[in-house]
Amino acid sequence: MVFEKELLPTLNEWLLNSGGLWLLVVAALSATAVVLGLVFQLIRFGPRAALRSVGQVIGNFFGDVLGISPRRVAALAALAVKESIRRRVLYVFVVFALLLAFAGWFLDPRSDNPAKLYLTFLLNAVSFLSLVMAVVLSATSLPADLKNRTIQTVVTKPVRATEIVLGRILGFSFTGTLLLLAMALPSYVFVYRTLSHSHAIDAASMVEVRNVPGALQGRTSSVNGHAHDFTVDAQGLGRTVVEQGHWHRVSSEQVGGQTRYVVGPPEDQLTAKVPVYGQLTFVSRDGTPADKGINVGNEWTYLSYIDGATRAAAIWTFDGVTPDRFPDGLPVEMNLKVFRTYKGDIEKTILGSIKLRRALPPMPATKDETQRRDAMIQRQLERASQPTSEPKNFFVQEYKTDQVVFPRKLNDSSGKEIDLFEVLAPDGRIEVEVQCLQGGQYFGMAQPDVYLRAAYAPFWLNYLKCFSGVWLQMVLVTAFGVMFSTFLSAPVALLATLSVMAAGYFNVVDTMIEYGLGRNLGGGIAESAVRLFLQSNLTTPLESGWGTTFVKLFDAVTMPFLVVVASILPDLNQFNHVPFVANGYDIPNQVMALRLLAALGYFIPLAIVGYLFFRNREVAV
Amino acid sequence: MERGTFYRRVAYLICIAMLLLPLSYLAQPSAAGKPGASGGGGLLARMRSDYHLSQTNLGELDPASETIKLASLGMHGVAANILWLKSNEYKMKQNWTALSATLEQITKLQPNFIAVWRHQAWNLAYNVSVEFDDYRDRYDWVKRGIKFLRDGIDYNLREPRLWWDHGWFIGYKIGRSDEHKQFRKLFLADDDYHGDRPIEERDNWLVGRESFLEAQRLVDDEGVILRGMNPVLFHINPTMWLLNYAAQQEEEGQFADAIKHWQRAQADLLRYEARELPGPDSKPLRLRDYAPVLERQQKLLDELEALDPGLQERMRQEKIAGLSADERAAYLKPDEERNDQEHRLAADAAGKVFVTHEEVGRRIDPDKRSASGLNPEELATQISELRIQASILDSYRTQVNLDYWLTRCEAESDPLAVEARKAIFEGNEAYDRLELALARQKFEEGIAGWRKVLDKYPSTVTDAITGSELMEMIKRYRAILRQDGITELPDDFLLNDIVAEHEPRDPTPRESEIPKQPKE
Repeated sequence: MVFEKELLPTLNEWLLNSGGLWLLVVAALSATAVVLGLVFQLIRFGPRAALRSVGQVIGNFFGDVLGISPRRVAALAALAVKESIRRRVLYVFVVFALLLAFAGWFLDPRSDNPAKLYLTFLLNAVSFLSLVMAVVLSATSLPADLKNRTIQTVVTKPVRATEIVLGRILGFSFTGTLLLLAMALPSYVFVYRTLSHSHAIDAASMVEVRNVPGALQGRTSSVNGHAHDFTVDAQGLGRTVVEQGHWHRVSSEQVGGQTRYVVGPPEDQLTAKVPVYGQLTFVSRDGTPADKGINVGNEWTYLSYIDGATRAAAIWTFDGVTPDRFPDGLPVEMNLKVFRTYKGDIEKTILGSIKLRRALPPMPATKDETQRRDAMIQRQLERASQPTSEPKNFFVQEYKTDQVVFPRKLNDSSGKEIDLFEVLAPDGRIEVEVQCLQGGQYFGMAQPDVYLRAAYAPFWLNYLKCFSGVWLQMVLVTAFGVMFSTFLSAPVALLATLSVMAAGYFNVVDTMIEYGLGRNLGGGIAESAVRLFLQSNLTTPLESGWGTTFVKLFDAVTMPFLVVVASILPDLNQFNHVPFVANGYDIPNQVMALRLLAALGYFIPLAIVGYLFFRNREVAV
Repeated sequence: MERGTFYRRVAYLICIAMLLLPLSYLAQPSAAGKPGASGGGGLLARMRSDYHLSQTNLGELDPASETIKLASLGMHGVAANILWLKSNEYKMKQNWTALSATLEQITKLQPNFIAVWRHQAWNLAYNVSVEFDDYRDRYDWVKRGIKFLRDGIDYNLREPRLWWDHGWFIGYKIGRSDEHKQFRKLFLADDDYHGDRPIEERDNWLVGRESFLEAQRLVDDEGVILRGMNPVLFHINPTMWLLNYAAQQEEEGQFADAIKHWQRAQADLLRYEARELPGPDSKPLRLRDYAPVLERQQKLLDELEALDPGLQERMRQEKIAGLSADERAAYLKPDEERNDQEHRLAADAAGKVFVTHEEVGRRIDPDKRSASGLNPEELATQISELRIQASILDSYRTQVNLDYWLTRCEAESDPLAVEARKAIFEGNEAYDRLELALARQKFEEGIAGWRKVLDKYPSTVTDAITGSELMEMIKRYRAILRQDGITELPDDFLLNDIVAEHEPRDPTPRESEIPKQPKE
């Protein structure tokens, strides 16, 4: 699985950095609002009136917030739910049913990993549908009520503006939740049913395995464009090799004096591995430490390579390696890539070795690059004296997960038996070192490619977690929609919410920031427009003159604004946990917690801003 | 005023009604398929069917494709562009599952865009497949590329280029990759791909040939125009695949039907030689006419000469006499004595003194008639035409190496060649098992056998393909000789001519070749 951004920070780190930043932004925004309000009132009515009216607004706000009655919010939310049902929101479900019915047309069950394909497609479809629904519902409801004056029936009752705004957001979110739940179950059944299959075995075509008495091998029939090779032992029990990301158990039964072989359901297809990730560093071919390996010429620099039969190595450091977490020894899983500089033996894969080592204490953080290098070299020297396990050799299977299990009792590098946890991980920290053993051949890897498999989480739970990510997206978009609808007319609110959604969903935010900071070729908005018009190439400098100066000036003034807007927009992709589920990894609870916090970080200011705007509309006063 | 508006509206209505008539004539849908109707429909419908442009004529109608086109509301071009960019990104980021799914979507959006099918099939079979380390995975991706083409063919039944690519991938990618041994084995055992096809017909060259033949059938029988491909190469391919099949069978030690395979290929080659191919001026020509054309050209040249013996040479001398003094001097000087200036002058002069047949024809008395009853000018024109024809035929024949393959078929269907190859094959096997004495004996049998073949078919000596095959064997034979203490090939080595012709030139001189410094 690919994590192009840095692996997750811990909750504390996040709270310290992002949480602090959030507080700062909220405080700055509030202060700006108060100051602006003061200035306007000052110009219009003089200092005393200004102070009074601003004070009143603040006072009202706290009154409205503290006076929120859950009962009234619930009643208003129920009203919003009723309204959404009246507005035929259930049509979304019809679209979804259609999608399920015809998904088979567009998805190829013979793909090399159908589980990934199906899950990605379905979960993305669900998330997209629910977002579109959230946008339409939330952005058009209030303006319609205001226009029809049906809002009067509500505001004339003793309700607070906070309650109306919150009631809308919660009510629409509740409808969305129901719909999401209604879509979750059928899609689960759909994926499960389309992927479950079995193969037949023709007992006559099986042949004996050389050197293993009684064992037989053969190939299953082909279903969904794949067949498995398999072996069975003398008892008639065995398993197939992995194809399309799964394998089957094989058992035998006697029918009328003849042995019949039965293939079980697919295994490891819908799983949720719980990985423990480590920190990756490299050793280069001459034995010096390095932050990265070699690039073998790929445009994509995500993978780093180490060369074979040299001192080059990739070293992962893991925390939390304790006997109660790994009672049966240490299962290391690897997804390594191979790069060959010559073909070698085509039928054989490349040989690698893996060993465990007691980890050095964490490196003290330093900003000074020379000091850091020195520390790294010092550590590399110290590594040699750390207790190390006997290396295990393995043949790398690309695009399949290689597993090496280190038992609790194992030999150290001198052949003496040791206890894994007592000797190699006394403080719960351990290093895993991988090397390529064949000269001229390379292994490629990134940080998440080697991990310890702590456990298997139930797949359905992981699936639900993924849906909760979709749910958070939906709630956020609803909050945006309601917020916009408190002061914009229906079409404009719709457009604004759609833009927020599109920016977050299609990952425009990063691009906007890149543009805003002037990191891309071709300049900012005005300059790009000029270039487009002149059909000028991105790298040619524009002719100097007052026109160009003006264009550049314009960009210099406007682009920081773009950065600010982009930085405030939510990155909805963050909440997209589909890759975890599709690749069969458990979504870490910590990720869930971080996302929930991030969503709350948006939700609270949005509700407040929505309240302030709504409160100041004529109708609500 | 009111009335004016009313009349204007009526006038509009009448105009609309009248415009409907030509519209109906043009655009009435085809009635084909309905009971009792025979094609027909409006002009557009008929033209569509005449030019094979309607979707049903192009190939399979796929509901998924039609739905997705409809759902993109006419923006499927834009959508395809976006998907194309995405597919590039997926390829860069090695997300193969997403890549193949995206390609599927692109082709669903624009199923009749041939370049997409060709480009992306190549991408899958050639560029993506090599990213995998396990040769079985690689085979799987080659097969995906092939299947992708096959899907493209289903949408575009009348597209010979797709059939041709299909045949090329099955033949060349499976049969000529570094992994061809493994690929061919996997292909042979691939029940998923072959279905009920009997095992003896599963060879990749034979299967690929079927696609080539289908491509050829479209061009020959259905009148589909071959675009963007050289017909000379296009039509030789089914035959080339038979030749490769025959050669590969021997390479893999299958000698039982070797002669039969080569004879079959030869017969096919002769049919190709007799096939009508479009010439540069679209006039059909046949490669087998080369010898008769040369013969006829010679005959007419003789006739022209007979009308006024020695005339051409006399005219040349006249022209030489007409050159300027400098030019003449330079022209008459032997080549190695000319300086730069004289080289240029001589080259100009050579052009000036050249006497064409037409000039000769015009000089002869127009009332004279040759042995075949032609007047001199007709004779000269025909000779020029024949010269052009011969040079075209010659270049076509060279393009496909026709003479080599004809000789090779003849040589290989000779039992002598089969025996020699068999001996070398057994020698190679013994060599791999390190039974060097046996290997040497077998190689020597093979060398003796090849000597006989080369003597019988001398033109094969200079051929690069035979040369490299034999040099491979000679390299191993030399290695065995070195084991036996013999460092150089003997002077009476039977294949010395092959070694002399094909041994790669070593830039560093051998020790024996370094001139010895005289001792002080």
